[in-house]
Amino acid sequence: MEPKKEIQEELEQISPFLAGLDKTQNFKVPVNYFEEMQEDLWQKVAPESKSAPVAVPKKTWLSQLDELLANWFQPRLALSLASLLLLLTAGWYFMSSVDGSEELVAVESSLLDDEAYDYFAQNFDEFDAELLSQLDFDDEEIDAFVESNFSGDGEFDVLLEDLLQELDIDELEGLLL
Amino acid sequence: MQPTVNDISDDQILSLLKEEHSYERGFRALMQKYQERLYWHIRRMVYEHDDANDVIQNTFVKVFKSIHRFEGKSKLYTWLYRIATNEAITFLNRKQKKSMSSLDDEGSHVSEKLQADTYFDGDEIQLRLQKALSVLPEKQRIVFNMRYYEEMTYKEIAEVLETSVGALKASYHHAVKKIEHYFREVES
Repeated sequence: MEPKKEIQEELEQISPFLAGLDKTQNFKVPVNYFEEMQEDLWQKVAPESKSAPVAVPKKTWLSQLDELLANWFQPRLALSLASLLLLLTAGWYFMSSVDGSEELVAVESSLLDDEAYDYFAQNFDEFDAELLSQLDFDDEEIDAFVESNFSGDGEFDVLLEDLLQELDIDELEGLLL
Repeated sequence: MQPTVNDISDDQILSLLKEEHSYERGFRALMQKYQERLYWHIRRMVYEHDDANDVIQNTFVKVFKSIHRFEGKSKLYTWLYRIATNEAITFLNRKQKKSMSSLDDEGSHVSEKLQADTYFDGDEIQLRLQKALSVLPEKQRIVFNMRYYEEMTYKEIAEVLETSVGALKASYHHAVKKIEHYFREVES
């Protein structure tokens, strides 16, 4: 049975009075309401990318390259890139100077002991406390070095004290062990 | 011959809405197929056109924002009806809290409003019917409207309201009896 007919028969059984009433819709809407509602809603729900399709001309490779370059050389982007390059250069320079000191140690390790000692004697100013701690001179060599390079009025002690102050507790512990 | 909006199936509408190039077509197809049904469903719950307009707008904004999450477990119109019904109930609850009026007061209030409403042109009996409906419990009124005015089957109503058919039959039966009783009381 059709739903409409079934519903009417059901109502007649429950309430003949209500079944006999006019079901005419008595609510009204303003003129063109539903058409306008559609447009209003479209403004609210239309995603930007899904708005009315617009014909886009196909780009040539030259125009694409031109666009790319224009994008890359925008002032803000160019400034960011310049800052990044500067940081990278500074970082490379810093690492290079660190590597330089490591180079000293690397150079030192490739020398024979005597040559290492001579090198150290000539360039000891370039060695900081950490590097000194890595050198493996015996006591005789150290005494000889001190005697030849420092006066007897405690100059070496002053230098040693300065070097020791550069060391942190872990490095000092490593030296003493 | 181009198919009319009513010829477009719900599956076709959903397919159109999935693709960027056909999204607007899908939007318009859905609106033309369901906007009036949903509007009247809401209007019968909230009575005033301005209120119905607010609720239907909120409903469709929600629909289009979440259409991509619609999994098709229920029929499209069931899902739409459910959102519309919930939005109308939320609106009515908010309004009820503000007014703090009783159901009886609500009935008089509705009657007065409808009499003054430009967008209601019913006669005395229709006005009385709306007044009788306004004093029904909310859910009972919704069931009555969907069965009596929208001529939906109990199965369809059950899918929208997520209630059993048996409970709906009982609810509708009681609603009809209450309305009949209200008319007899007024006449006497």
